[in-house]
Order: sequence, then structure tokens, then C-alpha cells
Amino acid sequence: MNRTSYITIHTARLIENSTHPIENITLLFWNGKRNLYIYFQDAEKQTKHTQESINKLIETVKHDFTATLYAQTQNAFVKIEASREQINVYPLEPYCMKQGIDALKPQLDLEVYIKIALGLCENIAIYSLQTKQ
Amino acid sequence: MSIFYSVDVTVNAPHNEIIITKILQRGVDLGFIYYGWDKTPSPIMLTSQEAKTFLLTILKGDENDLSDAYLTVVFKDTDFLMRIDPIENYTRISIFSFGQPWQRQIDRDSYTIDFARYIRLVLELCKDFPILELTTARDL
Repeated sequence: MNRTSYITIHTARLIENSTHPIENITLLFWNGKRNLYIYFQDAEKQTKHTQESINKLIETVKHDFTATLYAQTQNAFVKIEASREQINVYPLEPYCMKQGIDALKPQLDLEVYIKIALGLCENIAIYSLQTKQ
Repeated sequence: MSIFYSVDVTVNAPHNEIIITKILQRGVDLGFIYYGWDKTPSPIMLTSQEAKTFLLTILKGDENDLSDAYLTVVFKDTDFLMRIDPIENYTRISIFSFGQPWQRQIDRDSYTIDFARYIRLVLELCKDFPILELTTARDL
């Protein structure tokens, strides 16, 4: 079996959310903040996202493009891609590893990354979640 | 019309008695109540040991027909079927056929299954093992 490298979630529409005055794409960023994710604009963690730059990402998704950002969570660093109805979460170094039974060396621990992805969707309906290569 | 939902997770652990016992025991620790059918008209409540024996008996019985190799699980206010299957050198745990699925609102009038809650439950069930793959599915 091949090593899986990212998580993809098909969600309810991230924009034009009719049940809530706040659109899902905004909730997505709030969810991350509430879970203490620190958003960065680059993989080198040089520039943190501000509310203004987050608003630009929201506008990006509203215009049918994919918004890309990076997040440092309590135990992992990930790249996040958000588009109109999909969120992808890519594990980045340093990876979270776990020792498998009968395995010679530790393997990528997808549990951590799946929970990070779910943490972004706390109050957004999920249609499917898949781990992919 | 009903929708068939499932959550399948593959863990890096060989499919054997020890691993099955560990998963079933973890389920008991979480509050799972297992039921088996065993040719009876109504399900019988099983301990984790009986659940393991139930699964292994079916798995060892006829390798060509594993369609009956599942347990009924009641957990809090939901219930579902659970299978523990070998896949290559690993173990796959599937939960499916949710009787009373946890739900999440999509918009004013419609709801969908709360996959996030079931995924978290499965991750908790498999927390002793590295997760290799996780997929959800829905079929009309």
C-alpha cells in the first residue's frame, strides 16, 4: 500500500451559506483560529496572515480560485488549500510519525492531519473525506 | 429512499486475533455495545471476547463469503454495523449502515450525516495504530 500524502474534504458550499449570516469560508478560518492554528502566508513561516490578508483569501475563493495558506497547529505544520467546495490539507515537515506494529520504522500519522482538517470544518457539513496520494 | 454511508479506515497492523481483540476492547472502553446474530431472529448482546470469537468464527469459516462478518454496534444514540477485514498486510475497520445517523445541517431545510463525528469516533477506535488511509462513502 502506498504512503498517503494529503487529505481532501468535500464540504457544503463555502460561500453563499444560507443558514448563517456568516459564510462557511469565513467560519473555516475562524475555526482554525479557535483551534489555535497560526496562519502563515509562506512555507518558511516568515509572514503571518493578518485579517486583511485572510479577507483577500476569502475573496479569492469567492472568485472561484483556490486559496492557499499554511498553518502551524499544536503538533504539526500543514499546507491548506480551500476552494468553493473543497479543502485539502497537506502534511509538511516536520511530519508527525507513529510506530506501527511490525513496522521497521515510524510512519506518517494521518490521525493528526485528519483531525486538523476536521478542525477547520467544525460547523460545516462534510460530504466526504478521503486520504489521497 | 435511503442512503448508504460508510467510513473505512486502514491501519498499519496485521489482521490477527491480537489486533482484533485490541480494537474491540477499545470499542468497549469507548462505550460500544456489540450485538451478533448467529442464526437467531434477534441480535444477542456480546462481550468483546464473544464479539472477537464471533468475528473470527465467521472469518475462518468460509473465506469466499465474508459478507456476514460484521457486528452490530450500539453507541450512545446511534447504531451501525462494523467489520474488521484484512487488506494486503493491514487491517481495515469499516463502520456503515447507520441506523440513526448523527446529522449536520446543510442549509435551512436539509441535513446530512455528521461524518466528522463518525470519523473522530473511528480515529479514537484506532488510536493505537498509524492510520494509512481513511475514506468516507455514500451511495443512493
